[in-house]
Amino acid sequence: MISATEQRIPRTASWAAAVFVLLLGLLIGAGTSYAQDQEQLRDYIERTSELMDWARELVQDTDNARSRTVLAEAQRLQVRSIELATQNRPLRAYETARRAREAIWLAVRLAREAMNQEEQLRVRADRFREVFDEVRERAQEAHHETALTILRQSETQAERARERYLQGDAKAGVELLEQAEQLLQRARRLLQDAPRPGRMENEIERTRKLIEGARERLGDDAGRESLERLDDARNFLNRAASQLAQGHPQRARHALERSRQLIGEAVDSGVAPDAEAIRRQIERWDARATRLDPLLEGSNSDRAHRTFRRAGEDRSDAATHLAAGRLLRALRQIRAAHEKLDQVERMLR
Amino acid sequence: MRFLLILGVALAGTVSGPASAHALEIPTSGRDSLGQWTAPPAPKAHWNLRLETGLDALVHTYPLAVSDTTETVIEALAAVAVSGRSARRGANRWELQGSASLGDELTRQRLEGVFRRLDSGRSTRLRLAASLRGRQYRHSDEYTSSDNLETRTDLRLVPWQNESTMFESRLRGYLQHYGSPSELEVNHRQVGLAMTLRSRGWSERSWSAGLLGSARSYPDSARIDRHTWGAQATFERGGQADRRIRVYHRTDRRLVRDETARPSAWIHLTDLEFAIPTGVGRILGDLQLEGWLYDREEGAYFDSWRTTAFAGYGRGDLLSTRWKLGLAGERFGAGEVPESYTQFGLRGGVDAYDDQLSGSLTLEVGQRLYDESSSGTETATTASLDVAGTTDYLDEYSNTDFTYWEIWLTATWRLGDHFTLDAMANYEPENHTIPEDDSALGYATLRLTWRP
Repeated sequence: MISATEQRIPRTASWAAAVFVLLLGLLIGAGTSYAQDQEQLRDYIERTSELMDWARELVQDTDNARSRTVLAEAQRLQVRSIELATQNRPLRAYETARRAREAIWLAVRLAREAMNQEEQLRVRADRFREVFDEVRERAQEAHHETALTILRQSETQAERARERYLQGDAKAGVELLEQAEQLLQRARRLLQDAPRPGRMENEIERTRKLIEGARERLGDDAGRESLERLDDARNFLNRAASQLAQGHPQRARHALERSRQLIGEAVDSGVAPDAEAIRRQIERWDARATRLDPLLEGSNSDRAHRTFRRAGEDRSDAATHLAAGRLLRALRQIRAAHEKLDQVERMLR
Repeated sequence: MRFLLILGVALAGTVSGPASAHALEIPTSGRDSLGQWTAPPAPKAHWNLRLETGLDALVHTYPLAVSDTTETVIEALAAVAVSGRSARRGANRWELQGSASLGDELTRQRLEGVFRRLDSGRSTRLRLAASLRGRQYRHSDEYTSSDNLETRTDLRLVPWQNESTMFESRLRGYLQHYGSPSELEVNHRQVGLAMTLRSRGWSERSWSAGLLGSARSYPDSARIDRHTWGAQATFERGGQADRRIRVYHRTDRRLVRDETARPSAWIHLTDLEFAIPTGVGRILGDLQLEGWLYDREEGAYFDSWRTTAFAGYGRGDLLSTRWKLGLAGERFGAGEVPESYTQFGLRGGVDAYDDQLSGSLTLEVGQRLYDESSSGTETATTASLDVAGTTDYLDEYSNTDFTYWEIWLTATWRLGDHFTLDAMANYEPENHTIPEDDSALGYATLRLTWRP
């Protein structure tokens, strides 16, 4: 059933059909010399009108503004080509009709792509909204201001996606919604990983102890390179503390990560694989183990006992490799033994 | 010149504070050194006022056989927005947001409200959201710019839930009204109901399964009224972990009132995304399938399947810097219809997150090859074409193969404690085998926001 309002919708094609009749009459009366060409021009324009109707159906089924604009342009060109044909200017008429045909194809392509993108956007927007509400509720309950800030950005991006969609650009809408989803996931991840207040300070303190431990482990054999790296590690640690104090936890976290990376590099480059240096490393391990022994006796931590035992095995292996002249393997083993002692120290703390 | 550029420059200012007697003052002493946690929850309602001014510019160029058509829109706008929310306590919560903007191309109004009812465990058991948006074009033509009004309502009820599972029902309404309806801008309204069983909370695994139905009507074109019935399911494991998988599927049955006006159809959508840790990074995969199967193929409506895929490698963390690089592909298959094509490209991207600067850059370059592409000989200049030679050209579908670029850039800078600068840009040029078909699409915005 078609309502009355639909009947009122202007259909350019209807009056265009009337023009066709006029055009047909003109073509018939134009004489025989151009009759064949004019017949074909009439067919061409008529076929373009059919394609226009077909494209209109498709464009109507989408919210794509660009395809509407292009189809409107096609409509204008088609009307112009009819005018030119009635003025007995067949070449210009054909040229214009051909441009109308080009515009129709472009409109169809844009509409077809939009149809799929709109469906995708609708479904994804629904899913986004559900997760967004859930995450925002969680962030509000937790009073997590960083997550709430990111959620505001996410919502803004989703709003832009919607705006682009309303302006008929579903593809840009999908892209923007993806950005909004990414921000949403970021906020979600922040909430999942949310450190309790004070946790970052603990991490900084722990890193400070790691630096001290590394300096002790390197001892007097420490080379210039490794000492410079430890200095850099201290600088990054101070930067982390400063960033945290200024309210930039993410920057603090990055500085802390860099500090720890430098500690590892300092230890790695600190000892050249020569037998004497390795021997001193083993002696230092023995000294550390002796200091830890009474603490271990008073501890019920099975994990600490197990790790200490494995550290001892690594130390024995290092000594075996050293005796056999396998310096590189000996160095690796004694490093592993020291690292395990670090772990034991943390467990006993 | 062949290019499409949307340039948006917006200057936004936000004034926050005691817009009413219920204003909240957040005690700065309540912030801990992490800058993330604020102490006490809001004791009262909170209101914000935002003022915004900006400039949008749009240039749209597309080819028409022997010449380009360029659409240019430049808009200056000013906007005012007010938002408020209830205190973060109690069983009843509400949020309100209203905004209006005035531009030399467009005026917009937006009003949104949300009400939530929480249970004793602070789970939302009822949520009612409503929105109203109006848009008025200052320059209009027959097809593209009819003033319009959109309203939406969404009622969500959770009548049952336990520790791990919940049942949810949703009732949605939608109305789109055009000031000057036309063949291409048709008034319509829709009402829908959905029932979903889903997992609760943020566990390692989450899932949902549901049924939905909706009815859409077009008061001016009742023949294309339609009912849609559908089912959807999701499964997710791993969340944001390095090893994760997400699957989504939805099938809709769309029934059109008058099958002679538009055929009914089945629509299938499947989305599979996964990541597998390998070495220092992870293998990334994304596969989407979309099928439209009509009861009767005719005119613009024919069966089609679209498959898009990405396979690549990525490294990094969501909360710092990460990158990915891989191959992207797309296949649109529609039987004998000449719109069928295959597309493939190389896609790379990097995104970074920091308290001060966050952003992303994605670049894709590739090629689209149509199964039946027009050849260059068909674009001889019109001067050399005679009318008698047009017959063979009649039913040619005029798509040509092309090489494409897609560039997306977003960035957010925090400039001190009160200012934020947001930038976004998109540029997508297409270089066709027939140069006359070349086109380009672009979009860019810049926004400066101030918060007290």
